[in-house]
Amino acid sequence: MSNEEALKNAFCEGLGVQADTIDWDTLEYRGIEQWDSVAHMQVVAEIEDAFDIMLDIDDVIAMADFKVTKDILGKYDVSFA
Amino acid sequence: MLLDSRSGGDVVLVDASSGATTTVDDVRARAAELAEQASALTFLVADASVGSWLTGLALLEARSPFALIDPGMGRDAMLALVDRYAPDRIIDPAGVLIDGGEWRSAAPTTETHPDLAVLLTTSGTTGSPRFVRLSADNVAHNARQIAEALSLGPGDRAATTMPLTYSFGLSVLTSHAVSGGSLVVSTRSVIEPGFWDELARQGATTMAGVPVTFKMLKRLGFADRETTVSTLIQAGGRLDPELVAHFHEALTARGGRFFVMYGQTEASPRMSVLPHDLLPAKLGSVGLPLAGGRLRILDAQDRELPPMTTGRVVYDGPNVMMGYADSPADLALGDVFGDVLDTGDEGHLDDDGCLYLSGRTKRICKLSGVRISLDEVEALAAAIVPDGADVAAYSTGDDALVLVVEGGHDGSDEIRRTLANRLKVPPKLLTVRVGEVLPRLSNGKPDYRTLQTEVVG
Repeated sequence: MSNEEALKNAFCEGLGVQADTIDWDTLEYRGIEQWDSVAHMQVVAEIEDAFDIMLDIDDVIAMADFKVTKDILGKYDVSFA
Repeated sequence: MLLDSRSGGDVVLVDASSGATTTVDDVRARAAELAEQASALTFLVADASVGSWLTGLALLEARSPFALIDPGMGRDAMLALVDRYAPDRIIDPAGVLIDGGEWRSAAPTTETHPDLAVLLTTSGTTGSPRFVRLSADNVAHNARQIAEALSLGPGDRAATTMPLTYSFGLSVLTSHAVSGGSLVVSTRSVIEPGFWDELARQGATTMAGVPVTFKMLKRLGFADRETTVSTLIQAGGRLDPELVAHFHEALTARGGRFFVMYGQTEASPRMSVLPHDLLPAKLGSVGLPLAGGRLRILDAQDRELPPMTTGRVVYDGPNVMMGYADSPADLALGDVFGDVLDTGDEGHLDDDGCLYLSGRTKRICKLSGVRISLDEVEALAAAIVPDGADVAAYSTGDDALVLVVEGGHDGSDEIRRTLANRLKVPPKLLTVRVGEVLPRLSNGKPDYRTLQTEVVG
């Protein structure tokens, strides 16, 4: 699985949605009904599991959309090139 | 009714983002406006805005009965409720249902009892939600009981982390209003950077949360965060004792307080509070009954049990609801509960009168702080699973619901997602097992005891 796929998978698991129903370019916190604060923490946990990392608190609250999340993960040596 | 002893210039609400304040005089003016056009029944579609909190408080002051409607229930469900209960006024600050935010009928159509103040929805996963009927006395009593137990005063300023449509959120409003405190009304959640800036700017002292909130706060490093918040209030289900100890230590270290509370919407909603100073000695307890209330432990024959013996938890107090409403006709009823509430919970009192909960006598599960009937979950699931397969729902604790689907079906993931969606809870709280044979009792009903004790692999 590529990192891109693994990240999408983490979002799907955390939010309880199916990949083909999501517009990844616009996906953001509160942008869809499922992405609320509780689901946010689940996405964080899924990402940490998938990439075996521990996100800083500031990064947890900065993770406001899918694109930003990719940028943040760059700091943890997870690349999406 | 809650603001009687407060002076007109006192601040009641602060808009977290703009800092704009709402004073007691503002609430009284809004109450006078609402009372002028007397209403038999108002629906308040309450979102997170200042307007919603102000209107809720003003309706209480005006003694104008109202139902708190959560916009999250969706437009169709709201319209069905309007159809059924025929409110003669709808106030909808966010304009979810009513363009322009307010609507009035020509004449009142639904008769309501003079004592009725607030209607709150309880779990309504199928069909029409059931209302809990609270009297003005219920609400005022519980507001004062909570204010006393938490020693609230003019210096207390709570952030609106719980919605007004949730009994916990309503009680944060009423207990602060009655004791001279105020609320910081924020539309943000704890995971947004802006939330913490707002709290600091408006000097919020207090936050209320359900167990999942505290899991988040721990992950967000609340213990080490620089913040004005020095009081945390927890309710809405069992919080892991490890987290109770964590927050008790964190708050003690900064000279603050942490309160564990227990209640149900049916009790307006609070029944007991564990004072900060009783931790860590009483770790795992939900505390002592509120002033004027009493907790009893009964056996199956309604005999009162001595301390350290487990049985049904029954609460007596002036904050126990008038009753339920399943139809408009029920709104005309007076008090049918007589200040006694059989909670459906199981537990024991220790020698000091502290309550420890250990389970439930009713088929109820708590998900994200909301009580959901397991029978309703089954009814909902039965409509989702293919080929009319038999289902059984049971719970292994708060935030842990298990659905067993009998027969050789696949697609447990799909069922889990759909069910979570319908229940409006995160899918992670649900486990769906398919292709099993349900253990049954001789009458053909699922054997929940066996299901519950099975070791799930």
